[in-house]
Amino acid sequence: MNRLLRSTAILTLLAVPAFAQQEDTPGPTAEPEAVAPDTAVPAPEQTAPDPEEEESEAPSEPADAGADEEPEGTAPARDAADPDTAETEGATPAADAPAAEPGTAEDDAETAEETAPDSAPEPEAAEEGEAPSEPADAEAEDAAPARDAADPDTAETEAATPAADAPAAEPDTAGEDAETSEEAPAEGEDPEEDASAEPEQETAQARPSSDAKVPASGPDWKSFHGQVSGAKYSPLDQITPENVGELELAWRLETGDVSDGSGDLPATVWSATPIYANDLLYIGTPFYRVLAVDPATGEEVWSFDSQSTLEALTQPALKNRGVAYWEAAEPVEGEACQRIVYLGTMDAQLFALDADDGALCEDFADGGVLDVNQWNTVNDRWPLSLLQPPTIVDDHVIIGWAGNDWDWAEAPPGSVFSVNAQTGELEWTFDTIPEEIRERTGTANVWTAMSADEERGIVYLPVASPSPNYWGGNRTEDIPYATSTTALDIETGEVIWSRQWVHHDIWDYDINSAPTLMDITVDGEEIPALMQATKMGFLFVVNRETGEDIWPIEERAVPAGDIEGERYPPTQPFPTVPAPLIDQSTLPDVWPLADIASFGECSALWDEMQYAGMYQPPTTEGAGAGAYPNSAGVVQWGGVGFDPERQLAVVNLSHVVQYIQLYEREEYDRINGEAGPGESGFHPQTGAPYGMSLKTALNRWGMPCWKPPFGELAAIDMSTGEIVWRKPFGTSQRYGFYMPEMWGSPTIGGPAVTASGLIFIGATMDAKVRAYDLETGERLWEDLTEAPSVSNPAIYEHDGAQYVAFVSGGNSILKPSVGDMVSVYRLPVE
Amino acid sequence: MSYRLGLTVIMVSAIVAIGCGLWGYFAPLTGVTGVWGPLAAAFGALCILIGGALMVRARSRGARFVLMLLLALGIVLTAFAAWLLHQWIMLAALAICAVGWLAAVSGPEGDVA
Repeated sequence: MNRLLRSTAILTLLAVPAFAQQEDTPGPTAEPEAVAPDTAVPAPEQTAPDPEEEESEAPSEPADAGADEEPEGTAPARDAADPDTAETEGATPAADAPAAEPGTAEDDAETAEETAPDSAPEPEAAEEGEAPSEPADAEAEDAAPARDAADPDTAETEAATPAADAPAAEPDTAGEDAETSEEAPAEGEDPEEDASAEPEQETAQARPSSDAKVPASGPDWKSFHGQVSGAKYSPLDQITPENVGELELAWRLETGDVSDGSGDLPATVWSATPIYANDLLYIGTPFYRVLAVDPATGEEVWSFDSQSTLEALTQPALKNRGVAYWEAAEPVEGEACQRIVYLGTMDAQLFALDADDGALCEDFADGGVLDVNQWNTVNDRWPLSLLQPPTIVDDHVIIGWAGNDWDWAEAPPGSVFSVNAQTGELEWTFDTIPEEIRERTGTANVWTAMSADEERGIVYLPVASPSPNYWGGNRTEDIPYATSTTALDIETGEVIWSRQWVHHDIWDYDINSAPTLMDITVDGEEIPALMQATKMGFLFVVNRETGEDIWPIEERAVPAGDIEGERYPPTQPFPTVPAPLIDQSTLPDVWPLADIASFGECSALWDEMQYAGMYQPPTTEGAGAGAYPNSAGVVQWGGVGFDPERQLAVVNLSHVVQYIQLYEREEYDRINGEAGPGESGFHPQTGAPYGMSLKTALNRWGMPCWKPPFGELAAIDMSTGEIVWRKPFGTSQRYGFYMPEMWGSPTIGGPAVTASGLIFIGATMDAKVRAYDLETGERLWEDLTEAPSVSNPAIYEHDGAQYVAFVSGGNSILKPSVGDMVSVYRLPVE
Repeated sequence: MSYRLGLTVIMVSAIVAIGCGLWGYFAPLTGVTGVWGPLAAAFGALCILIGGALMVRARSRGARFVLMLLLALGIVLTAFAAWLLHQWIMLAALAICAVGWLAAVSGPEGDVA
């Protein structure tokens, strides 16, 4: 009874502002964008779209860019969304429902007072209608689980359960927030300060507390990271530290889909992780084909060619990170498309193929092809490239996209789409940028893998920085979801909680990997945790249910810059545990060898660079601002692997120094510099008053100016946050010459771990794939492949044998080497 | 070992080293395929081969002295390159080359001091 009364009170309190919001903003209310993140409106009102409003919101036409870039001869579905789809799209519930905006100091202060401390939520807070930090047991039980809200009725019910869906009180304790706000250097003067001093989002307990654990992994590898938890963990134990040295090549496959860029085609960058499911191994290629092969022999079972255009429309290269896989909970034998493989393309087409035979799934969108670019309606100067396979959770295909935020100030604004796995109908859209500034900026997109807690019905988005990368004078307002980890309700796209890891990002510190979900025991308490690895070398660890800190994350002062019209946040978040993977408080020492070899060139560069820590703002002065960590990041999209039994997290990291320089437009045009590999070199940031250059700190001979190691592999005990071991990893290579192992190699790619205590990983410049002892870091096995394996390996069991599969596709960020090779290993057959 | 045998060993092992460099460059999955490092090492081995051939024809002590020094330098640098390239067969060939050089230097006709 008590629960019922409390739920009713909360519903009443939250329904009022929800209704008011609809009245205030008549047109767009049903649309997520309608509510700007800084309006401090509770989320629930956005969850129950009125069917009529939904229809009226339906997007009409596919964007021009998409239409222009249709691949020839590709499947039909490139035009306008079919009516059903449009309708559904319109029906998109307000995904944005931002939590209380960090920038509203007064509101925040009140909320902070009224919200319960993170660790001990108080019922009163919920009863007062403020962002309830209560675990919401009662409400949760009463409320229909959001995942059941697919039908309108359910959706309505869900909307009516504000306690469950309200924006979360900021992960940090409210009490602490209030204190922090008071202590912030310039509180109240600048919204940015609020953002920095207070949690980015007011946390609402969006769904029931649950004891649900990260589901145990199976012997398959059904997604980019093996599991949607992002753990990259296989329970298989046939290959052990004792016998891994005997591993031998089971089969090797060259897809033929490779280009070094010297001919008509752009170079390829292939970072796919094969998917093992349905007794087949599925591989996406950078020519946008899908191969289904026998997992034991590599023999082709079927293939599909999307005939997609092979133009580098949004990237410096043709890129692909593989495919996604879905299967019906209860597949109907004899019916097509009970299991589906999804392939995205550079020109924003999502293909759905029957996993059994590769035929297009006719019921999906328009004849098996979904034109995602139909939703590219703002600053549509390029298509929403689908390079990262979508994230599949239950029957939802959750789609992020990649773009180009180093060449343009105004770009398509970040959005994530959820579509039905079988029909392709749009279920919800989540927009990351407040509506009123979308046209002035863009991106803040999700271009890498997401992770999900299926039990709790939450999908976690690693959100990138807004455009342009290195100047923010066009976006001085708060963009709370930019450079964040944002937790959404899988069914509705509502925000459950969000943590911004970089305020007003002008360093291109995109959140670039899927958070790793883990159940950890800290001080005797079992905690549903999430670890967000970052380009900055920070590992942020929070409660994945609420977003609250597990170990304190502090706001610390950072340097200001000198660019007129720019905004400089006074503080940025710094985790205290685990310690940063590299020391970003100072530049690494100049490497004497490189300095002597270049007659002091490196020392001179160090003197000309501005650097007072990693948040040194870009400048026009001297050689520019030191970028350490560099743009590619300490940790890349391979993310963190986690062994739940040993409670060990594993991560590969890079030490690379770059420097960013801004140029006033006139000077930039005069220099007329060229773009380099990846995102390096000169880029115009068209639409901004400054062009920029990003260069790696090398001497005239191409030697790194900073002291080694250049890359490491590390393991972290997640019960204490302490690093258990870290070692130089791989070997750097230039012109074919291998450098000493103690120097390590910059890395791109990531690990996979096994129950038997092994780490499998490629990721290094030397194109080798290796196995390490998880507990000691000892290297136990290696083999040479065609090109750097810049993805995570896949580990699977087929017909009783354990296999480890690596894709060697190369990445110009590491070295100019491309590949098209899949190498699969197993123990010798007795 | 005689001077001439020493020179023969130098030249044969240099030919093997050239082959290794070319194989490293052209063959797939050598770890150095298509990059100029192995070609540079092959060029170093070619210089050793030419130096050995010149030694065969050299008559003056001064010319032999200079050639022996250059050969030693060539063998050391090329071996270092082979080591950095992880071309272990090439490195072994250059080790044998060094043995040939020692033989040539210490042989009766190799007295260049």
